Amino acid sequence: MKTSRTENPAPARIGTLIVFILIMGVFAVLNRAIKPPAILLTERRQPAKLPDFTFKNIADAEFMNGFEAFAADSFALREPLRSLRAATVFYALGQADKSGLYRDSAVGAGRFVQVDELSLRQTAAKLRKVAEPLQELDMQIYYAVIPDKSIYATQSYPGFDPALAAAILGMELPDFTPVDLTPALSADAYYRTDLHWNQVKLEPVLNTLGTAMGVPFGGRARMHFQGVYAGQLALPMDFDDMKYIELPNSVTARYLNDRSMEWEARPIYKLEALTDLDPYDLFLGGPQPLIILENPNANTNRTLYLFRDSFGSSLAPLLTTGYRRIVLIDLRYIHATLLPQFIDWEAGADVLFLYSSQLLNNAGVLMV
Amino acid sequence: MLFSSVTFLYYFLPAVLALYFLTPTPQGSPRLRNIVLLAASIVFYAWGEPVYLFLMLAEVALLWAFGLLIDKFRGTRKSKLFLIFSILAPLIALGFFKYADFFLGNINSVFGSSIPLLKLALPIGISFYTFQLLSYSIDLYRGEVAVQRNPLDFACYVMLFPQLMAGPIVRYADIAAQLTVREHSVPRFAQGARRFVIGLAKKVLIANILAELCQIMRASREGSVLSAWLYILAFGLQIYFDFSGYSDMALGLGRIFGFDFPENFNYPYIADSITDFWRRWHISLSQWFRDYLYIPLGGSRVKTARFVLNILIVWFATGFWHGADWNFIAWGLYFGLILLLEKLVFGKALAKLPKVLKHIYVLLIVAVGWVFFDSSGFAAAGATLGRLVGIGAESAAGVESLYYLRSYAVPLLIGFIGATPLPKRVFLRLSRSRSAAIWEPIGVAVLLLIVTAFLVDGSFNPFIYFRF
Repeated sequence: MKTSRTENPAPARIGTLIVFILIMGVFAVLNRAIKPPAILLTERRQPAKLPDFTFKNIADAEFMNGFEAFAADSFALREPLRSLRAATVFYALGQADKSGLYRDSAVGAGRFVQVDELSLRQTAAKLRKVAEPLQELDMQIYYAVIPDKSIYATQSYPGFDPALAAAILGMELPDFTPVDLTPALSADAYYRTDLHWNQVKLEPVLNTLGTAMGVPFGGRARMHFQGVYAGQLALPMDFDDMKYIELPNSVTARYLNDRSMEWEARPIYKLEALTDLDPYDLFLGGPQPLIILENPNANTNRTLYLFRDSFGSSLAPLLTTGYRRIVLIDLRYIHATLLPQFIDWEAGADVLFLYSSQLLNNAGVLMV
Repeated sequence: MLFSSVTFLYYFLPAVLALYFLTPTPQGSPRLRNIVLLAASIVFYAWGEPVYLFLMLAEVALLWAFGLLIDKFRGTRKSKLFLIFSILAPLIALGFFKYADFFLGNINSVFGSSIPLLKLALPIGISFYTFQLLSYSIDLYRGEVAVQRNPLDFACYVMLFPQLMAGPIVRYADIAAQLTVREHSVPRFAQGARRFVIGLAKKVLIANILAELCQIMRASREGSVLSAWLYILAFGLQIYFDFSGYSDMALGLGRIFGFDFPENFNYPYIADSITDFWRRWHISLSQWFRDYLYIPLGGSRVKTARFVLNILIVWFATGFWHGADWNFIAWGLYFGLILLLEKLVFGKALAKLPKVLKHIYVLLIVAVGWVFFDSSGFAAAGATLGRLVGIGAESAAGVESLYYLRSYAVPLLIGFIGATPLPKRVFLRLSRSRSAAIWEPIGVAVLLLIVTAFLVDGSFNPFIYFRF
């Protein structure tokens, strides 16, 4: 673009020069003057730290690579700028999603991910390996996929295809009994600002599982809640109501402390989490390797081994009406080979592999 | 360091601007400011390539010394000898760092050997600064430029950070005078700043966004005709806005610091022949090959067979310059072949076609070229080309391609319009009005803030031409 003498009159030149210097200068000064945040609240993560200024870090460019992340994370007015980007993407450019994060009238904010066939097959292989010793104990083994909420959205997203996932898992897990949860869920079964399902909307899921597994499953608090997608989207969103179903006092929980490796009795609902960074940790205290739920008044005397991810945390308390004992196993936080040290497998028990589509697409996170 | 980074925009550039304009110019000489620019350029390069900084410094020192010797022994055989040295030295470095694994890999394939590959990281910008160094030595030998005796000024020319990483390929003759005398003024600064921000917006708000679409469609398993077209449209626009945006930023920064770099793009997608396309795309590279390879080979004033050979040599070199792989060579030879056909077979018939058909012809030829350029191999390129016309496609369109067509309709439209001179014409008309005093600064501010928002929020920020 060549410039001519007829364009760019003097006031425009001066104005351009002033805004250019002003914007660069103001942010350059603010970025040095403002203390970097201790935590990026809406994104629920620690900001990148300034790398150590050492010869080694400079020679191998570690300092330089880390500096850009630090500079972006500690940038002045970061939150309004993130909202500006979101507004540009959705309103000015008319895009349906922001790097995979979408807004939908039915399901709220979400992130769609397609079925990763390779990962799904790797996950299935890991589940077969875990189930091998359990099958020898004559256990009934079930699996269920919690579909991503994008399949209930009003717009057709090229996201997780439950039919494709069911077909692959059906081939890879021929000895397991599938339980299809897709018809039991709907858009309002999920939080609008988070990926998880809402515990108080899970009755159809309980019925579906109860029918498939032959187990009859049979009060509330309220809290404003903004899930992980609200912060990632960086646009104003209505709060979700986070509710939970109160259980009788007879239902107890024991957690494996992953530091002391001792069992500890703790409440099923961690109420203090409601004011923490991730209120979803309300359910069974968030990430935990092993938990045992017991209900002496359950409808059956049976035991369930529930291999699960975070979705299982809100469902499992509801399953205690049907099972006397439920052992929750999260293979993201404990290696499968360590399980016999902490669990006495009970012959004839039920096994349910209950995983979300997000986890099935990330076979690497399962420690098998 | 990328221009489109928080580090550059809000740490490096403000510091350099402040230091540069606070540095005095005794008797109007910018020598002290050249030293500031050189120091800034060293930091700029070292930020991304601390180790390879020494390679570049060594090449600069060597070529500067060879330059003195070429000049000292002018008119003797020694002068030619030092010219040969000064051509071989940077070419050997380029060959070693950029092409060694290509040759080793091909030797292994042909002879069944297993010579280990060197797996060296490519020094950033080596293809660009190598060509700048060569142009200096050759022009000096030809007597077209005077020798540069000041090593700092010579280093400043080669390493000048605005054009160091990805051009334009600035010849010494272009800026030799500006190294000793140049103008700094409010209009130049404002024009430079505006050009820089426009380039930044082209890169971050068009190229990067279309790069996402391109990446999604490249990885898509849908296999539809529409997904193939979306991929190639997105890639064609991405590479144009990526590279021309970078050139705009380079030219804008150059202007701020008082330099006038040569234009590198002139709306290539409105070309009406492939010959015309290459007069508009990466102009500084095309001219470099013309002046330092094509014309020395004899150009077009030779017999037809020799002319054909000259064209094929030049386009083989052009393809190879872009990357050490067969697909780049095929891409270069493909254009060489089209240019030969235009020159020798259907050029006159093409000129008589209606304008719209000529443009469609150019866009299709270029699109096919991009498939080769971006493919991981000939089989993949063939599959993509087939899908473009329905061969091997699983469907005409699928859920995924339709979704992304809707989602990227506006960015694609902006890309299509932005690749024509229409926005510039509108801008020029508006800029003559009195209201330009208001909307132009506001426009610059809005673009800069939106770009900053995208950079701060960690959006996709690749840069295609860095690998060259």
